[in-house]
Amino acid sequence: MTALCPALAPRMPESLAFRPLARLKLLMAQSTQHETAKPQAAGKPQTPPHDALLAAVGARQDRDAFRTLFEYYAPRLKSYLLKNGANDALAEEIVQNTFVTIWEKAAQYDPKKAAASTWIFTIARNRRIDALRREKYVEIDSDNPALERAATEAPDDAYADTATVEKLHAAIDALPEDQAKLLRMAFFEDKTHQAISDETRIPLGTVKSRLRLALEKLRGGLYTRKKAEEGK
Amino acid sequence: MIDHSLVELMLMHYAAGHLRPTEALLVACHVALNPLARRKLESFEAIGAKMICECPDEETAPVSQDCFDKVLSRIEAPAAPAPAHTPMQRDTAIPPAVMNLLCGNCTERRIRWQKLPSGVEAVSLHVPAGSPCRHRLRLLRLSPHQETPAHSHAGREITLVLQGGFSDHSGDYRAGDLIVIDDPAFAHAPKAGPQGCLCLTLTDAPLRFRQASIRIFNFFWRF
Repeated sequence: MTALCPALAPRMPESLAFRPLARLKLLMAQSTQHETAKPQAAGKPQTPPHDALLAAVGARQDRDAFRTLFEYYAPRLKSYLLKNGANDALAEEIVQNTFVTIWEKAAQYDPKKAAASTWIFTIARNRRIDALRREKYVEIDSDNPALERAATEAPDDAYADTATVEKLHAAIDALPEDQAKLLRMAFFEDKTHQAISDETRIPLGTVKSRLRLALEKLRGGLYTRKKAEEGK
Repeated sequence: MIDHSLVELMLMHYAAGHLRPTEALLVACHVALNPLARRKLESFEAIGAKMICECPDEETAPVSQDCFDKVLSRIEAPAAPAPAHTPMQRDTAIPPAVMNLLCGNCTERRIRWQKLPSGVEAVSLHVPAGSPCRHRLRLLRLSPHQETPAHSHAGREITLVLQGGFSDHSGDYRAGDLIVIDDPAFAHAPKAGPQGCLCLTLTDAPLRFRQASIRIFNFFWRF
């Protein structure tokens, strides 16, 4: 099975597999409705507030900013952790570990390189893996000399700046709903393609081809556009 | 055929934190060596962040009252001494995370390469806990212009080129490229480039060699 179906291979235990479809539909519907209300999605040039808050934590150990970030992200991260198979106590522990790491590493945060939400998400992801595996997730080693080499070769490493994140969000929002839904199930909820197929009653081959289409559209919306801009 | 979108799927699963340790190792090294892969990964991480931020209010999971206080008490506790910084090995193309997996009989300075019947030099790595037991992680080394016998793959083979490069009928691969082969019908005979080739491979089944004399060795050596 795994040999024939590549994307099934990088998987977590099957015990994490099931979640009701209704929740996804709600998530999808909400995500479009909320778009206009989100402060980050509004004006272009202004710094998103979370970036500024996180920078304040890094620059002067601003506890109020830290608390504001905690109040916004903790319940969302906990929801993500519960959806990905953690129980309540473990989810809380991982949230705590995440915020301890955020506090310790905030000085390294650079708003020009990444949105605060992305930075926080990657920390939560790594702390989740640490907790589940009792083994450290192999993180990208910024001390790796090879990485320095790669960085100097990169034509433009400001890819994850705010403007591009907005562009990425636009690319995701532009995905047809069926593709976006599958992407959400595969990506966010760690479902195997087979589990998605069972739940949505979409044939396995169609699930795969739609996911592939979604990835191609994201790629088309980002990398090629970026290249075209560079070419000007 | 080699399906290049498989690499993107791996980046996506890495971003979501769903890879096994062996797979995560290859992707992390790939991203460290390859700026484009790094940008793609950042995009996938931004997608993950977007999904978290867009969680509707009624679906968020409130944390317990004292959760924030526990965080505060931990950050106020005297900081534990930072782990000793391991010195970098600037003169090697092998990433530190891979060096850490070298088995006991290899010292950091001297890797005991083993010559395989196919002519390729190899060294097995310790497979990190939490990975399926059939996973084999190895460093492979080819001398300049060295050819390897034609073979196909019973399972999945993921290769990261660390130094130099190789070519086969499907294309040329250079340092930083990740190649995922997951097609039992795909056969190739990779040939090293002018600088030789050093790569990290993850396999979950033995290779199948076409040449009879080498096939016999398959019984004794698990490729």
